[in-house]
Amino acid sequence: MTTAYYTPGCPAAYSTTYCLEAFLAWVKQRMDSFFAKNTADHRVSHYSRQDSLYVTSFKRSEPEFWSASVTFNPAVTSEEVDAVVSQAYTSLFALCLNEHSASRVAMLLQCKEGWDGYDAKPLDHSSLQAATFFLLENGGLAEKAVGVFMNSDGELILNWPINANDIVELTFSAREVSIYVDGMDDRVVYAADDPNFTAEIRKYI
Amino acid sequence: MDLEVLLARAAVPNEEDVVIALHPPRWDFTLNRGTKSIFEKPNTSVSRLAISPLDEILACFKRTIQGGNVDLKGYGTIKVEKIKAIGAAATNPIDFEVTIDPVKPSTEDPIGNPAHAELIPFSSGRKEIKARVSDGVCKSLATALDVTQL
Repeated sequence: MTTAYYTPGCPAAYSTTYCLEAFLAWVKQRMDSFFAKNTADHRVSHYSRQDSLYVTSFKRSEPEFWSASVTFNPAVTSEEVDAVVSQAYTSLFALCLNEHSASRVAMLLQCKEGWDGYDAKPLDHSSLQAATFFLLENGGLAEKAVGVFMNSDGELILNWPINANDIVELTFSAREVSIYVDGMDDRVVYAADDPNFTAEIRKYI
Repeated sequence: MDLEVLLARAAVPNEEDVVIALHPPRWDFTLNRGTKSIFEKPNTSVSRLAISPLDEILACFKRTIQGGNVDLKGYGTIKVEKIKAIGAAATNPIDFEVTIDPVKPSTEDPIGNPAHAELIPFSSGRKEIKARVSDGVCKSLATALDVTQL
């Protein structure tokens, strides 16, 4: 299993100058990889840019029929780019978790600075990307009732129950991920590519 | 945050209850849980039930959070003395104080919030403000909330 969260094929964090095509190609590659590991019955279309641009679409019949696609016109505006990015990430969360989680990601992406009524930051796309990578690399979370949240620093948070009383919570930043399990005094912070994190988190999946 | 300014603020009495808004993205009522990070900041905003009735506090939340578009589906209440007890019982104790900080009417909010207060995590001896509240303490505070779904 790959433990690195940042690979040469993984585009840097999204920004207004972000290379959209690289991002979309990355999304397709990650979806291909996910399906190659998790299900035999699937079809991922090729990414192309002609009259219209689309990231990917996929279908599967087991355990239930599901499909998703990301499309937009190449006459891009920043709003359209945002929409494509949102669709791509929500598709990935739907793929790895469920539709509710996907809707939470869409909501996070819409939160503007000051969303708490004070000085909370908007979602950090590096954090979102790191969390997405985590989900793609760690199967088995779809049945865990994973919650998707954001803190006031714009960092994406995932948490899920590990028994009747306790929850594990991960907070993703650009280069680090912190883990907190109920009963601990405080979080433990790992570098994003630390294999010890992968070993630790597998205890809770 | 200026330590001297915060130390000069009056404190909310221990017996008072304070209210915190529970809303996305920090809360998920479908899953019926949130992130403990709602208490992580060194100046978490709360509102005092002793100053404003609950309906006015909730109206303020709806008016001011996320530009008036907040999906406010619940709130949590907790007594000040409970907050302090949780901080004091931590492995690395936190000297919590709920400081009175009314919000005056402004162009953004013509009504303001006279019940506004801030939860400040001081270090022992109040020489400094902790940059963040530890996760264990945040979790205990979140667990101690009396949560009401709207």
